[in-house]
Amino acid sequence: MGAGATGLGVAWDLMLRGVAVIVVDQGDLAHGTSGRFHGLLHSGARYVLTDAVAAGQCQAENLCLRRIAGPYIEDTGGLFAAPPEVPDRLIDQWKQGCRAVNIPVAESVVVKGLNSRWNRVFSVNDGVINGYPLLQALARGIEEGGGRVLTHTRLVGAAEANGKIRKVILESAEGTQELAVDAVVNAAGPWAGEVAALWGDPLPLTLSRGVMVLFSHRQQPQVINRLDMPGDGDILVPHDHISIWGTTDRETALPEAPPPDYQEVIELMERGQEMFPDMGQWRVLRAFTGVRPLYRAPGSGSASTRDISRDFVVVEHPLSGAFSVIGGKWTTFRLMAQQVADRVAGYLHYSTPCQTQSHPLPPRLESFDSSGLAEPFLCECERVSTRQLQQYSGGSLSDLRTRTWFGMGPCQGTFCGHRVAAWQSLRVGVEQSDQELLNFRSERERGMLSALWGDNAVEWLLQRNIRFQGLGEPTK
Amino acid sequence: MLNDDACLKCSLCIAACPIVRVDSAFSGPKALGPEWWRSAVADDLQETDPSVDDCTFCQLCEEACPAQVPVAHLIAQHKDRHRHHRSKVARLRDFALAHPHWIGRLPIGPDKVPRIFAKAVRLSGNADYPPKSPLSFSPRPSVPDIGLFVDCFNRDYGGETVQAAVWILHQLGYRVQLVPEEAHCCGAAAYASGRLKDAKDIASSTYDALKRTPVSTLLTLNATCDGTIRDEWPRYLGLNSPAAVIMPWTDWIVSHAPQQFWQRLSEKDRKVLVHTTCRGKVAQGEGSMEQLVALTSAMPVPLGIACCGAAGSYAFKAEHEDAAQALGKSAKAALDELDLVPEPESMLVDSGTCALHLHQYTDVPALHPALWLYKKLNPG
Amino acid sequence: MRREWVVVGKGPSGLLSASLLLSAGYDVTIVAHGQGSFPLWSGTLDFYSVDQQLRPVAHPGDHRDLLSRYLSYDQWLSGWDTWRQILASIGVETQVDAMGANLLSPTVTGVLYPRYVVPGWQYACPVPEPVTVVSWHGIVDLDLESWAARYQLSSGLEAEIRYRPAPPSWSPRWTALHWAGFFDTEVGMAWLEHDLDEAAVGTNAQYPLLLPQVIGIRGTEKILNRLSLALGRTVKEIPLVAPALGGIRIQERWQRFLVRQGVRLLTGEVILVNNDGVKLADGRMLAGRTVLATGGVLGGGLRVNWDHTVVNTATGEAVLWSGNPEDLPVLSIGGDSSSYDVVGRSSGNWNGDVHGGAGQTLASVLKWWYSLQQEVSLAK
Repeated sequence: MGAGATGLGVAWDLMLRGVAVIVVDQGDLAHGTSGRFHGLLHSGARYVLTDAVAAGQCQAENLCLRRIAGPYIEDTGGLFAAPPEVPDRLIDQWKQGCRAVNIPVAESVVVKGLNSRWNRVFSVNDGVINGYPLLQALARGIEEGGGRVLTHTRLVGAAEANGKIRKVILESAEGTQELAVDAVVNAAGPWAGEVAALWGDPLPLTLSRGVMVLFSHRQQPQVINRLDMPGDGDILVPHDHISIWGTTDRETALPEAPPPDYQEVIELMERGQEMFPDMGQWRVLRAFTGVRPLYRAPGSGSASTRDISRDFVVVEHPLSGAFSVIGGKWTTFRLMAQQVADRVAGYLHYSTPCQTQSHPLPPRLESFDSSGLAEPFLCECERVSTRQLQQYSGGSLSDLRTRTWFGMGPCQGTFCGHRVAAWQSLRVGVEQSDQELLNFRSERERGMLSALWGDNAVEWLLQRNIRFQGLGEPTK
Repeated sequence: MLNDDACLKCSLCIAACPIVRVDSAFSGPKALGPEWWRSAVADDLQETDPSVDDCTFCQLCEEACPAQVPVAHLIAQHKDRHRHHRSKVARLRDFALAHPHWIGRLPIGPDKVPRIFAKAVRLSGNADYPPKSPLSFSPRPSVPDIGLFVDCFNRDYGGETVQAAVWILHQLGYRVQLVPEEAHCCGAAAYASGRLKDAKDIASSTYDALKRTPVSTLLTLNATCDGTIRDEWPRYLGLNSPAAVIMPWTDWIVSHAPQQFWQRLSEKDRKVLVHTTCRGKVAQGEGSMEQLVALTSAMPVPLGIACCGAAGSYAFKAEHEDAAQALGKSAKAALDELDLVPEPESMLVDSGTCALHLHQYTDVPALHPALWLYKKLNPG
Repeated sequence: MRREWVVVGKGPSGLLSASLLLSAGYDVTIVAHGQGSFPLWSGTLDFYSVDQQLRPVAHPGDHRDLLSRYLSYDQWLSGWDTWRQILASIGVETQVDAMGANLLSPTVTGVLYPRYVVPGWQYACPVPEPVTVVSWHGIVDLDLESWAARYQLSSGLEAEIRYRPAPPSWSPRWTALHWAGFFDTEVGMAWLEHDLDEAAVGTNAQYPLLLPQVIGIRGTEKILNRLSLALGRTVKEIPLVAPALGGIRIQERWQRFLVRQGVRLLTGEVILVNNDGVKLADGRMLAGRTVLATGGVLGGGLRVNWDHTVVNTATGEAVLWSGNPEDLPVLSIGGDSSSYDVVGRSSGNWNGDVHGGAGQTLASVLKWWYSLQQEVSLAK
């Protein structure tokens, strides 16, 4: 259950051991937390001061992912810059911590644009994960290996016999279906509590939201971290053409990611300008929230969400064959999947050991370069043409967006939304594509409104002008 | 460059671009400027678009931008990156044209260059080239009121214009010094062809030369030099502007010449064509030359085009023949549309290369407003 | 009353204000930094085209309560005439409904949208009718099949469509301006005539023939008339998204007209406004009473900072904003300032994006103009 990094990771692992798998998600791939993160492939250096085990795992998995998922990792390198108030003692402790778990650290040159008083800078082997294509590749690999991936499909019930799980009941636009299963892995992230409730064993889940601000350009070639105890607003990640600045950590009630709280965004920006004094002038695109599912160990009391371990737990429910996995980090998703799959394989009496450390992920779909094509771009910012859309026809506008990346650039769909919707209308009809366009617009608008300043505020007004005056889109 | 990434994708720059309208292979300012830049920053992009060389660097795109994206200057960087993909001959020719103050020192004018040689170095076969008309004098008052900036073109091909400009300032009682003392260039030619390092070197040597003859007021004859020195030196070339009031000669005359001066002229019922160059529109705007004409009681008639197609040495390059010609023809079409009776006897334009080009296509003699005024004040 | 006026901004509100001042004999200088919104606008006058329930309205007069917030109904009636006359004087003919109701004009996506005053080149009709639409591969904003389906939904009527191959010189980077530039040439015109001859075969000659709005910039009316004659049916355009040729044609003709009438059209960034006039970033001072037509947040007259403070970019004054996005389009600047007047988007109270952008231009400029006339007559 769940087509995020955890769910697809577990399914991929089991599939390689010969287990027949089906992955189910209520939305598209990466619908939840996996699609709402900053993209950092941790070196582990962020955790050396607080959690040496996690730091070591990050470093090991970092190296492993570079081996097996090379096409999905950008080797940007990362820097840690210490603000002037951080004492040398802490810096030394951090360096020792890094060495203890084999994170390569070197003193680095000063970074352009960085606050000039932050003059102690170290390089580590951070990187960037291209989350969407990686998960799309896993899904492709699972399907090629005989598994199935059912997106836009909701789990609505489970049936048991003799204390063992036997069936799951699924609902989608096509209707309801029952699937016979021998085991279920609940990797629904923030929704894991709801899923587990279906077999009557609620989980002690705490949800934490983190806000991130997205800038339209690649401001720095490397990942830049604040060298200090982990806190709000301390990581800048370059991601293709853009940069993501994050993040915050506040307890939140619902699994669905809420729109960013404006005050939280302001605080994040204030914090950002300590590091990069010009950040307030950078061209912002949007702000968004991700929801982390955290496992609050029984008896851990009322610790703040930041103090709850980023480690993960696997829960075996009283109902045999039902497993839940909660917590964890993108960087260590493979390790997490391995440990879950070990338990599940054991339960199912499969003896084949884990393959994922050495088995490379399916190759990346040839990255599509429209530049030389004799057809115009529909999306100019991200250079998407009709030919790319055709590769993925069948999905909704939103699915097309996360696969081709149309509508993700500086104009946030102002000039391409209606073009792609027109193309889509030839497949699904005008009324359906109008509805999808409205969903696309409100999704884009939600992010823009959360960072409504500078040229982004101008862009938003321009978008409204074009939608309502130029295109005649419905105003509501 | 703070706003290099602020593009809204609104296409106002494309709407302002004169080349987009006449060159079907030109990708346009949005694609060549901010869109290219965004990928260049992300990918350390080696990929360049060959059509970038067809940009005239008129800067109308940049002037149009509502988000203050330095569109033209991003395109100039794009040109700089693209240079290495060009032929040796083109690079050599561009290097020479980027140093117009050196070309001016050659014993013959570009109009006398043998055609066979011109063709070999990829110079345009259908452009008019300027004949030599060097400075014949150089006033040196002990305490000047005004420094007149003698640009690369006027020093060697606009001797008459400089003389006229000085003569008029003298008539108004000012002591004028020509600056800088030796041949120099503001760097605009090099910058426009994407030779950014050359532009910087040329500009800083001019900056140093200007420092040697300090003046409190610096008048320019050509709006391109005005905009380059006043605006681009500090913003893009890492230089200070010279510590002087810098303004076009025309603006100075319009705001400083007294009533009696204008009363010496009576051009009533005469129509005078006026073309504010693209760079003039960007640097200051339109209207000063019209005011000057109106002060003589003649009727100014703006030609009403964005760019004539000369664009410094742009029209001299063989690969720009078609675009320069198309823009020249639109200038002619604009003139025909005006349907002026009687036909205008002259057209005022402050740039020497634009004057050549406009004359070539419209058949109306084009000259600097200073020279026009001088001729009116000294008939025969 | 002072004779000199400085209009800041050269979008529709700026040029309309300048035209009105000019017609009353004032000396007008326009100064602007950035192009203004013409290329984002098809040139139609929308007037509160949707009602409170956001349904299109047939007649602007259905909203007398809203209208009266700005002007009396009689003032409106003469205002619409003024608008049409000014456009006619710059060479743009317009169409209105004989009964004073909204016309219907399809958008680029095929939605029939109510518009009040429509430029002559654009297709508009009092009641929906079946149409023939011809377009070429490569005009990405107009997807004919999708257009026809939505037109059918919107009007209940048929749209015959004909997709044609692009001309040989087409490239994937062509924007509307490239197309328009092509059709403005003889070669382009001949290609177009021949292509439409073929495209029209088998279509219903009773239907008007619609083309994407790329039919030239300077020669539009001439070309459309020639095509109408050749094909024996109405030939009109459907406006595209930015760059919008309709707005560009109006902008260019209007600016040319004003400059020919003696208006100075300066380029510069206003950094200070007071009772004497304005100061530009480059140090120039312009004397005169000032009207700001700087266009609110969308036009760049207001800037929103990351901490949600808002600044009037021409004066540096802070403007209060609730933080609610819905209030951003109607944010008004310096309402109580006595040192300048405000028109257009920056005058607040009207959400131009939902209620008609050009309607807002007209409403705010006329309101300012009528109160100015009252001031003049009181002074007398």
